[in-house]
Amino acid sequence: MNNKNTTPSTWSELEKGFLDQNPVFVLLIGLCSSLAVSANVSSALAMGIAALAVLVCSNIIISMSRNIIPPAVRVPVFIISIAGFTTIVEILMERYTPTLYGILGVYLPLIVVNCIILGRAEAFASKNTVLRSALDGLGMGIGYTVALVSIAILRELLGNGTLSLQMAENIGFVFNFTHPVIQDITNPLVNVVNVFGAAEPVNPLLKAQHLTIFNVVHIIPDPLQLMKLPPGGFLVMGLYLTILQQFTIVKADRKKAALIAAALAKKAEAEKAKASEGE
Amino acid sequence: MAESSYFIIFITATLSGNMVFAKFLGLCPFFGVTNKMEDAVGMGFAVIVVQMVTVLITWPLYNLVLLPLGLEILKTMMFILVIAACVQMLEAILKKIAPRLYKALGVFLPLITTNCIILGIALIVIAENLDFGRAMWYAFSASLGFMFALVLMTALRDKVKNAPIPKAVQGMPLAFFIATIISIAFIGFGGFAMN
Repeated sequence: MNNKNTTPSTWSELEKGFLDQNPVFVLLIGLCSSLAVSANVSSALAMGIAALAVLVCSNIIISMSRNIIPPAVRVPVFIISIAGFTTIVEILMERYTPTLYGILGVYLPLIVVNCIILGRAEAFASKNTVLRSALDGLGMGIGYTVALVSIAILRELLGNGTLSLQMAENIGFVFNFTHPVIQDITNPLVNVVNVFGAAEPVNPLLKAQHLTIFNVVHIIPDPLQLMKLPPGGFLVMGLYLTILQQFTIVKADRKKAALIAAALAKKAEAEKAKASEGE
Repeated sequence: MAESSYFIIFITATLSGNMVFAKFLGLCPFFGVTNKMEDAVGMGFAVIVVQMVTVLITWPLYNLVLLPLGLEILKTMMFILVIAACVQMLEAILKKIAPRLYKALGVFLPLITTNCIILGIALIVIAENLDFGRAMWYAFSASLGFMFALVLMTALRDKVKNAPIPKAVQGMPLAFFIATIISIAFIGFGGFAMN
């Protein structure tokens, strides 16, 4: 891998997926799955990781075989290899996290038609070396996951008053930002921890696999159901896009102002020089 | 849904379970081709045709071939192949027998291969265990609902084209806010979702 000045560094392949070319917020691709599974953080994270795995694997395979595939049939070949990896991820998730598999439902096989993956295969992996393609896939996948989780955080926090990291109904953590939950000593599957305030009584029946609920702070008195429903997805996405657009506008304005200031300074200097010449 | 009447399936697929506003399928064309009314209608028709042909093939393929052989896990791969082949064939056939229709739909056909609606509905009718008649009817109603969503969105975007909108909201963010409001309206049909 030679790092000449003309080719961008390996790190930049990884980095560009985060913000500059974030697939969801900037390129606006892969919207279907990102809005559908972002009603809570756990499923968003699971979807992000599944797509990340498929993206990296398919990028590697396609990059490895990029010189063998005839250009005329490249798209079918890409689709088949992506579908193969998606099926592998499906089988693994069905076996190890059946609850999340059930929640993701039809959106898991739909990774095949996610424009991000085919797009990266066509635009990047079919033209670059294996290492660069793998890093590109990793960067794009992380960018996708970050976008999904950031949508999900806002939706779950406002819609349910919680942030959850659950593998199944009774395994994982829930951070509670609404009415504090009180410890139920008869329930062996739930443990409640108060982050601020008095400690809850110890649950003697608690099993090794249990759900831990952290009562953080009571800042959301009334969760808004709408945010969990489909309109919430569109709304949160619209809000994020508005913020990004405003950010871009401000940045462009600043650049313009800096250019104008530079031009004025140059002009003033030239006049000064002229004046001094005249003397 | 496996035993509900055709009318209920129609209402569920077009309104309360609308592909775009309730299931988030097909968002790329929904935001991409809703700038001109002809494009929206063309895309809608193309999706209806491809969807019907796809389910016509995938339903028997799954129930008569994959299921008896115990190869259910291959459905994603088989279906995407069927869709790609369908789109190619449809393109060739239309070009030969209906050149005018081909001219109208031609641009949208290649895009449809990676449209999640087609694969999504093919998988949903399998997951819901619908019989063949209901599967075809669901496919038709759902793609009709998609076309309805496209037309609705195009009309609304056209209406606000000349409105004084803050710079930060112009374009995509506004489209998302419009979609939010339509989506809230569609939730109102939720009472129809009977089993």
